[in-house]
Amino acid sequence: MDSTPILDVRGLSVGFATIGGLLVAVEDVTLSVSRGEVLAIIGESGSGKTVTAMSIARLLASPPSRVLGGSVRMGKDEILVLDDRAMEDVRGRRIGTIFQNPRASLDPSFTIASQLIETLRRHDPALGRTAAAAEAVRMLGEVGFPDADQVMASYPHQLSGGMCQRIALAMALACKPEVLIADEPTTALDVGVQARVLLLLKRRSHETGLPIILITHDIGVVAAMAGRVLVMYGGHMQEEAPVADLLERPLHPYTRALIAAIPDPDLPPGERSFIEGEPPDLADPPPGCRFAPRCPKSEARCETEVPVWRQVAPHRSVRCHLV
Amino acid sequence: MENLIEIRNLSKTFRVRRGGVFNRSTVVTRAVEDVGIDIRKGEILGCVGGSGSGKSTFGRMVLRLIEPDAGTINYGGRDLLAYSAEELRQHRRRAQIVFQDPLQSLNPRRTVAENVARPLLNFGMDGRAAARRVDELFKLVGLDPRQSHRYPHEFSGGQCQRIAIARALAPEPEFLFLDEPVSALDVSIQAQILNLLKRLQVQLGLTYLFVSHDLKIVRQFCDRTMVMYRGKLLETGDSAPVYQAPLHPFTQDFLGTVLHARRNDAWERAAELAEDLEGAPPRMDGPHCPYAAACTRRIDRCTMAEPALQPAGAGRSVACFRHDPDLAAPSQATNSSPTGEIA
Repeated sequence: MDSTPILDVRGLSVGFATIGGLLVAVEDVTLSVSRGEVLAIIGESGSGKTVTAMSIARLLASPPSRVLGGSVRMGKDEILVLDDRAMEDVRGRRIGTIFQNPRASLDPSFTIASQLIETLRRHDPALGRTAAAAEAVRMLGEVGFPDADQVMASYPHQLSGGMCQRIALAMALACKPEVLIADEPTTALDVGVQARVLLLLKRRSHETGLPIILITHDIGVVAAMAGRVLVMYGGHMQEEAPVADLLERPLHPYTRALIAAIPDPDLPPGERSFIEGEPPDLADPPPGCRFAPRCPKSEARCETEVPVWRQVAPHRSVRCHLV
Repeated sequence: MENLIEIRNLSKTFRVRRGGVFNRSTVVTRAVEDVGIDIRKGEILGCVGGSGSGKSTFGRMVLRLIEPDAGTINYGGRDLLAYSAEELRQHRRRAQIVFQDPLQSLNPRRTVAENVARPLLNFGMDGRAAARRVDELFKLVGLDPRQSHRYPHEFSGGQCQRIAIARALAPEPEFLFLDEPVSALDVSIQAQILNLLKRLQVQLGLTYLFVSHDLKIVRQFCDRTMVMYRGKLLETGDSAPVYQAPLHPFTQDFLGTVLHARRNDAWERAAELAEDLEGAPPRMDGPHCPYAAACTRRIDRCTMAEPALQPAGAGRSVACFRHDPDLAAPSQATNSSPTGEIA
């Protein structure tokens, strides 16, 4: 695998203006993806995973959001300094996105055919209507619609959530992006349809080398999809590792708790282990480690001193005083 | 074990009007069809299925929040469907519900204490006694009673669900219908709420009907499981065997698509076969097994008759011809006898 990063994020920090002052939602996030790689970002509500993804594609309204520092590079381009016009060319064509609610990415008042054809022709103005329609049918075939004519003639509300998500995916892929950001793409779907959409993503990445940043709260999705995993909590990166290492030998107490909270089908039913308390309020974050107030192993310095992000083994990094 | 609720042949059809002024049509959706099961006193019965499987409609009918079209519900020896309006109102003390979205199910204009006290006041308790009971209930669900004068939006999702549970427990019910009670919560909070529900069930001797689309949780949390598919009950049994060795092909396929924290690629094969349960059901004429169109283990008779739920040993039941070779041939005359092999 070519390990030159296609997308390279360094030290990204993002804040939001609130009446209580600046809320730092994401602090010092560094990540990269290379050809054919699936990087999963896992975390709970308020972990900063979605803000990270939205900031990379510059989809957050600014103000109130503000990039406080860092860089997002693709090839020789710095994404964060591009003007709005240049950014329009980046979105879709260089950075594709799909989101949790697929209906929100489709226009309710147009048929699937007209939306797909418009997208294709916008990205390739030389393409005629008939050729675009043929291409749209081909793309729908790729995302699992063998008989696409009926789908082409439908409006989004006539289709199920799983169908809409596959169409949103077809639309994102139509622009041949260099990297795909998928933010909880299957959270709203049934397990069977979730598995189908994930398999499509995985195969696409495998076959064409498309790098994917997959944002999820579900360890099962991580295990099924990811090569590498970044664990976020309270706006900070907490641990990064290849997926097998992370699942088998998690280092950060938060990662361990997250994995332990998933019911294990091989264990007899009973009380599940769980983390006490609630995620931190980022308007008033804990002074030390963001996880310290809930951490079963917390020591005095965890309460006062933010641990540094450091590499502990090849391809493994963690932010914890105790590792 | 004694049965608390005995449900027989429960059915519900919804008529949905479609289209505009000129092409109006009525679409008939069979949300629940001919479902029968006993809910035993003191058990947690899990009900799983995909979108549109009828699991939520089923639960609501058991509470009579939705009126069934057909069937019977025997609750504690009495016919629930024969209750008068006042009898039904009194019955609400015994059977309560917890919804999926706690923030939406609490009244945002009332303090959480008023929310929790509402059922008590509705059943005639005086204000001062209700206030004392609210304090008890807060402690019972792990909340600080000093916060009870706050409003729902001041609490997190997990705390709101604790408040909703406190409200459900206020009139001292014996039965709770839990409709996806943790689906809207973060993973670490889910485990807290499930442990709370389990503790309350043991401590108060409650009976639960727990509806969820998350099979991992149902397997862990529920004593028995019922599997629904497009309004039909396909399989029941103790949770452990249903998950370890599912009998119905649908249950097998459904479980196959569950993603586990252990890495293994088996889900990819299941994913290729997975049916979009939100999509229209496959068209098939005449009586047939509801899963026949999607089933990879179909035999001839599956497309000629509909299998009934039959005992399959060890307290399990399944509606599948492959598990009942002795079942009488389909009633209508068919020249071809079933040729497929019987598993």
